[in-house]
Amino acid sequence: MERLCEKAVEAAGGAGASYADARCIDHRHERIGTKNGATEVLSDERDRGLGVRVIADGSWGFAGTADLSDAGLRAVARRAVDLARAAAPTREEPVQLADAEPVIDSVVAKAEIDPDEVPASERVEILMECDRLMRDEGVDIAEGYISARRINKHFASTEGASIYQERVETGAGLQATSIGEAGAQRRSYPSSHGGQVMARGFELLDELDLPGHAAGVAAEARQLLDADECPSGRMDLILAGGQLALQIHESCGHPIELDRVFGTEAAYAGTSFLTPERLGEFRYGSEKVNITADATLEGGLGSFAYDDEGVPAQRSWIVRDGIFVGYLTSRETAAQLGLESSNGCMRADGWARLPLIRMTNINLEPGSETVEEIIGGTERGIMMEDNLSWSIDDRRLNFQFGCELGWLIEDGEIVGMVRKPTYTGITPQFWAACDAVADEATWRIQGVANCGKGEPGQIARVGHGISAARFRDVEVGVGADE
Amino acid sequence: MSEAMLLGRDEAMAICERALAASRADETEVNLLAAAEGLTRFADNHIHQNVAETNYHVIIRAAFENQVGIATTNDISSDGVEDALRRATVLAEVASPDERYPGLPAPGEQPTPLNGFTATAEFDAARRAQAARICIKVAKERGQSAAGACSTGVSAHAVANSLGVLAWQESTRANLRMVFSGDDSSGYAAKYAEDASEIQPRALAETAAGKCKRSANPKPFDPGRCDVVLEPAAVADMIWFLGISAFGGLAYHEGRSAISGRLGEQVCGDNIALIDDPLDPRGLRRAFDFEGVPCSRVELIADGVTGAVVHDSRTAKLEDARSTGHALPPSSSHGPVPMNLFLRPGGAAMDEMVGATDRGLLVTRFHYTNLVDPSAAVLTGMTRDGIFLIENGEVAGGVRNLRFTEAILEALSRVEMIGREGRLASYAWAPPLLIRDFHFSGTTEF
Repeated sequence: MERLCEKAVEAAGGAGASYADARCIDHRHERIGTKNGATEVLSDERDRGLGVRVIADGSWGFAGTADLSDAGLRAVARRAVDLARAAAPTREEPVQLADAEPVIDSVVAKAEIDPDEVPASERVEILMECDRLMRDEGVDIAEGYISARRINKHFASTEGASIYQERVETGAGLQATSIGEAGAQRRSYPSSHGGQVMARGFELLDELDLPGHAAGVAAEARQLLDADECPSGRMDLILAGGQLALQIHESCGHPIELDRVFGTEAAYAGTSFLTPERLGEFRYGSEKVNITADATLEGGLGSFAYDDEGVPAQRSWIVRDGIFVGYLTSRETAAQLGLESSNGCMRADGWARLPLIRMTNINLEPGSETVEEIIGGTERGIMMEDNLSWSIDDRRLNFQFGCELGWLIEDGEIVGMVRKPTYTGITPQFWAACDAVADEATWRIQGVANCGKGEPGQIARVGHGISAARFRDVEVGVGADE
Repeated sequence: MSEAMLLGRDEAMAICERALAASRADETEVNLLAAAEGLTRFADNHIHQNVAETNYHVIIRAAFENQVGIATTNDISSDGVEDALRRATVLAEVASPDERYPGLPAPGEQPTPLNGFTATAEFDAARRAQAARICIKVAKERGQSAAGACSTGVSAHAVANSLGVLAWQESTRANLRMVFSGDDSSGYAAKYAEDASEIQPRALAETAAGKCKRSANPKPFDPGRCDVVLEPAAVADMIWFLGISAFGGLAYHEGRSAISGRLGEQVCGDNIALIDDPLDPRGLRRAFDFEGVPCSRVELIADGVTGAVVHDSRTAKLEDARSTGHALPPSSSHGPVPMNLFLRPGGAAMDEMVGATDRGLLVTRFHYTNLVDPSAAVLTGMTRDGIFLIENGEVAGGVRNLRFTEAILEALSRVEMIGREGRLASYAWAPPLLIRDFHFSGTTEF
């Protein structure tokens, strides 16, 4: 892979690029999905290719190919340069990159249990046991999934960087659906949208203990059929489970992407309310709100050693004591903002796509109260768990979320379950109303494996460190009727 | 078109047939896709991204009785395909039996031959950059900022199985979409087509610039129920979510659809007809699905009454129906979905629809729509890039963006007028609609 990257970079330089980098990637993704007593999906997906990114005549060009022959590498490099030159006449200022020390390194992430040590038949057995336990509880649809991903990647640049990285990712989860007069009611373990996914080996499967949670998740799906509807009005809201991860993801993670702030997503995903003049000044949330971007967290789905510009993984502050203090950057956007260096957030969805600024692990740092204390301090509210639906405007201000389940709280105690609860708000007002964040005892990293961005579309796998948090006086129970 | 493809029909079929001949499974299926795509992206009045990729995708499904394994590769060499076949076969041997597995489809009618457009295959990076430059020029002339993307692609798809199915299609896609921004407003325009020569950059740019200008200085507007004229992009978004949540055979069979058990019932206004037609030339056509089954035209709603849902082989077996040729790739567990939706146009001009509205809103498009409750087809989303107040039958200026939360079938029960001229927005073609009492549930700050 190293030699392939070197050849591509040399060819790009020879074709006239003032800067070039190449990423060669070997990717393997194994997935098992079971449903109602059968293996529904059992797949082993592989691809391999190389992408070349260049600056020529002051503009970017990028091309990807699966043809790794010498002729193929020369052709893809030349194509990237041609694309850059086609773009150049519209650009008044040439691309400038913040400095980055060229690194030569090799990083092989070791899993405690390599997925290859656990045969597919054993993975199927685990899920089939869960399937039986869920259906014994009487759910209509029992689903389980286990995935393993292995990515071997080499990065090289005309600046002299040469970095090899190997990583393993594991994902697993259960989903139970009951269907009745109240419609389809779904419960997931340990979280919705694919369960938990981490940059770890199959030791994660042992920790998740899917069979130990199968009956419980199915029982909740059944109970939801008889649960009340979510009340409408304003009350306190506690976010727990994966829902807090998605709240951070949509209302903080995306608006701090500096390419988005500078408008490059304006026609598609949108821009951001966190404009540069607000950096260091704007009150994003209450003093309880402390948010970091941390690509160095062990096992986080948004963790890595080097990003796709060869910049080392970093931890940086995004919101400190409620004040907005930092962005996610690339080398280009860091230079645009006047920063000396990037904080290393450029990642691409495989070899065929251009790196974009993506979330790493965006974390709500733990607070000081226990979850029990937060519930106990709530006079009237709802605790919502695990996302069902999400929507937010194109500057990331007005959001509306739906969850799988809510727990009604009265006088500090949980008094009942509600189905498909929803809530809505405006980002800085919502975070300003955060008056409690749970402590380290329940803090964990939740993987989000389906983050979409860019054109052509790219999917990133990112993480969020979360516990639970309370927000005062939030509008809940938003439906199609007033 | 064939000369523009990465892979010709004969070569593709030879790869598929070699894999079938080498297989020891009871049943084997090969999907082979080849694609070359380019995209030129612009923002802040310059091209900031210019990319191209070529790739292959081979998907092999092997079955021993009702145990199924799937493997993929992008290596189309003999070794690469044989390795994928071996991996699929090994997985099939350890899969648990699936009593609902329908078997691979047998050969039936031959799919309608489809070819792409040479004009699209020839629409290279220089042409894409030229389209972007035209948009940027118009924006600069108006003191606005242009952002958008121009993309073109050619692709080929072969499907072969051990029962004798052999299918081949070539297709092309072209698209130019843009948002022009001013100090406090924005405007959108887009064109999706198979034939790149249908894309008129200057006309689209003028539309986006006009919307941006007319929606400047937006006024607040209180949420609640009000009449709306939805332009085609907004309607297409809504019916796309209705299609994927309600009219797929799997969601229908499992009781997760808003129309489960309700075929033949009146579910919306009798002026509504919704069809999935993969061969309608107004859309992005497909001749067959990922099982090689020819795509059929399906009347989903006629006169407000549900007619049918779409099927692949699996859901056809479950519902004792025949496949309509809507299978997704075999590694997908989503089930079949309608991908070529058409909402039947009416007879109204846009001016008439605005003129018939005393007080309401004109909406260009929605943003980040999502299903709040798929089993009731309740949708939420934001307006974006051009929302206007209508007063006394006339457009009276821009308003701040709003959030809607609506049950789609109920909204389609309150359609008073349907436009006669529609547009394609990716997977759905739709005319504009005048809908009474549309539910806006919130507002934002711009």
